Amino acid sequence: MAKASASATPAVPRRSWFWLQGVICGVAVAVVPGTALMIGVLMAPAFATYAMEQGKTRPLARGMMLRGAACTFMPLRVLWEHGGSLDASLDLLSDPGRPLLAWTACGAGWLAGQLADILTRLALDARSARALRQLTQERDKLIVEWTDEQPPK
Amino acid sequence: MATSPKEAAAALIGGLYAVDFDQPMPNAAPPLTTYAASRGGVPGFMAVAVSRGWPARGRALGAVSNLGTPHMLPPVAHGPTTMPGGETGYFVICPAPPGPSLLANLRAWPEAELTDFVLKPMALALGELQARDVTHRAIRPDNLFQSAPRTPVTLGCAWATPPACHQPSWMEPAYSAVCLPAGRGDGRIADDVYSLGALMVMLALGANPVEGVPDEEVLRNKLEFGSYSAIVGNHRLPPILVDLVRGMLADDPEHRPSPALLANPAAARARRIAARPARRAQRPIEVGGQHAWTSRMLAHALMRAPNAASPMLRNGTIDRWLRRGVGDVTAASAIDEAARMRDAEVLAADGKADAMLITRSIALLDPAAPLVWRGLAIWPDGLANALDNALHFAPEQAEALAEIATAQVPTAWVEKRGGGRDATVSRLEGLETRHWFTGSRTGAGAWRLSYHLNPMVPCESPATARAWVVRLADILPALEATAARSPRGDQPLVDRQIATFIEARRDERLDVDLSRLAGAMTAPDLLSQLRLLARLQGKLSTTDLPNLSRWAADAVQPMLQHFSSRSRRQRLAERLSALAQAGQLAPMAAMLDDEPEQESDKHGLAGAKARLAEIEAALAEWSELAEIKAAQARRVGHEVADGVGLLACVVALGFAVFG
Repeated sequence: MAKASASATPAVPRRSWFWLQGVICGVAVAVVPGTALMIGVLMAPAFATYAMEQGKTRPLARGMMLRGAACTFMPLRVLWEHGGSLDASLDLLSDPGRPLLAWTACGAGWLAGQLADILTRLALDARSARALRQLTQERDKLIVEWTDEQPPK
Repeated sequence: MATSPKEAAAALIGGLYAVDFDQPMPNAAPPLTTYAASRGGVPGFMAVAVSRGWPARGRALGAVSNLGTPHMLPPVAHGPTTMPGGETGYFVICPAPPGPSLLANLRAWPEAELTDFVLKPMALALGELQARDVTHRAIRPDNLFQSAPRTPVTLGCAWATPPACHQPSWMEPAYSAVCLPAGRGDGRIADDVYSLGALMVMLALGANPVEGVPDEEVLRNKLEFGSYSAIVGNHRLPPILVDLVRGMLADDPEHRPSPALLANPAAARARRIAARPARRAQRPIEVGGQHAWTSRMLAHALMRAPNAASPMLRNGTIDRWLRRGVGDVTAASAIDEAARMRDAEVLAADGKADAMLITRSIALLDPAAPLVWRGLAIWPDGLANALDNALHFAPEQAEALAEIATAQVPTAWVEKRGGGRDATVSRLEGLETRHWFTGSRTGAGAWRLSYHLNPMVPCESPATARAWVVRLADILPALEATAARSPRGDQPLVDRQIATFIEARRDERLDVDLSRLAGAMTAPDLLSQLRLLARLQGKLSTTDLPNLSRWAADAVQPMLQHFSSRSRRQRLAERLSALAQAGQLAPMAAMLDDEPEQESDKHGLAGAKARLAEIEAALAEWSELAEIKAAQARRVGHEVADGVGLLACVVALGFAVFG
């Protein structure tokens, strides 16, 4: 066991950028707290999904972020027109329509990701079944025509 | 059921003669089966049945058909016809006998009646036959007929069997009596004169002069004392007949009067030829229990006891007896030479060399004796009939008779007996016969020889058993009739007998297929059989053969399995069936011979195999790559969803910035 471990190639430790994300968030909260709050609240489902989703590409979180972002630009502009303060941000967020719309968009993004998975699988299965059927039919015809055997069921 | 005019015409023999099977004529040509026959409704004819194994005399039937003499029943037609049981029989049509046979009213004939009503008419009849180079060989009391007392007798039918085969042994010369009944050969007209002489003795006495004496004893008496003494014995003949009969019963055929001379009895009586008496030894030699006093008797003993004779010939016992006992140094030297020749030929372990020694020795001792091989005596021109007869009734004899051909025995026999046919010619004939036997590609050399040597021998195939097939042209109609009557079962299209028959009555165009059939008798080459029949049909321009074609289609159906393509097999089977309906064999053979079709099938099979391999590989690969493809598809789906999201994002940003 020890011998096997010794002979194995030593794994290169994967570099983590999590600390950088923390720094950026901290800087954003410190410098533009209103904007950070606005983005944090409106994009909260997307960020939560990002944190929970496994895998390198995180396709669900990606879709939710894109759609959440689409619903965040307009409130951010309004925020910035009102000075971009934390109070303005809280004021704008007090309107439940804004977070509801953003979270709905995030949900739509999640749904689109799930549907894309299901639909492509269905499409693929249909195409495979058709091709398989064609191949099997051709094989059966050849067996019946050229051999005295029965085609496999 | 009414028969069509065509069928009715076919039932007539020679297109003219109808056989009435309800009217047998038991004593018209004994011992043969005979029926009354008519020509255009006019009676007065008889149909003599030919039996298998006893072939009719083909050459004589052709040569004697228009005989001018009224003292003989010539064959007026011959051919096959259907008998009541449905089988086909072969019949020789002759005029019906004018009255009962002489045997039926056997009595002692006065001398004048004998000469006027027996000798003279018979001499005229035999003269006619001699002019046509034909012999009768059936002069016996039950085959001579008389319409009324004191009328000329009429000689009966002798054409439906091999020559002399039914002759009583005592009425034949010794050299003919010792032969197998079917192997006596045509002989010569002098042999008929001999039989006529014996008949005259019987008629003069009113009884069989050797009644109760075994044939073998009569034969030995003929060899020892001469035919006249053996037959007449102590009986008293009218003085005028004595000289005549003595001449007719001369042992040397050259010494017998000719038919022309017999027509003038006075002249025949006056002709006296003194035959040199045979040298007689002081003490006899015993060979196999038989005592021989003369060379002729010794030859007969060698024939009867070949196993005992062979060592005696080899160790010089016979040589010494000939030198010292008989005083015939020439014969002794010749026998000695033959024995030495035998020692040089000691190749065959089966006694063939010994048999050849016996044959040569008999020919040397008695040049008048027939050919003897392994105890069987025949005349070479009777080989065909003897062989056919033996093939039917005595297979063990057939083997020995066939060996006569393979071992070229007639050549050796002719060389030793001297005179007769030129030895060179005989050798060539021997080679030809040997070729006919050993060259058989169907493995039935004896039958082939039999078919070849005698054109009247019918094909003995079970498939043609109910027909009487003597010509090549008859074989397809016979097979067609058989096919119409019964299902094919598992019998081949062309069995060994049919192939041998075709080979014997051969046509060079059929040789290729016969060659292919040579080894095919165990594992039938159906295509060659079909091809052979097709060529036969084409060559003989036979009409359609729908039943035989259906038989053939049924037989060659398994051959379609050689094609790999199922649809092609089905298509060909349908075509085969359609061609069979048409009754033409050649298109069926051509269809199975179609090389482009076979090549196409082979190419198709190769292509199908390759494509099957491709498909199997694709199917195996499909299951292996399913997960990878699914992951790829998922990624593509998400990318599409991302694209839509990105577009929404860009639009929203645009509104936010510029809106």
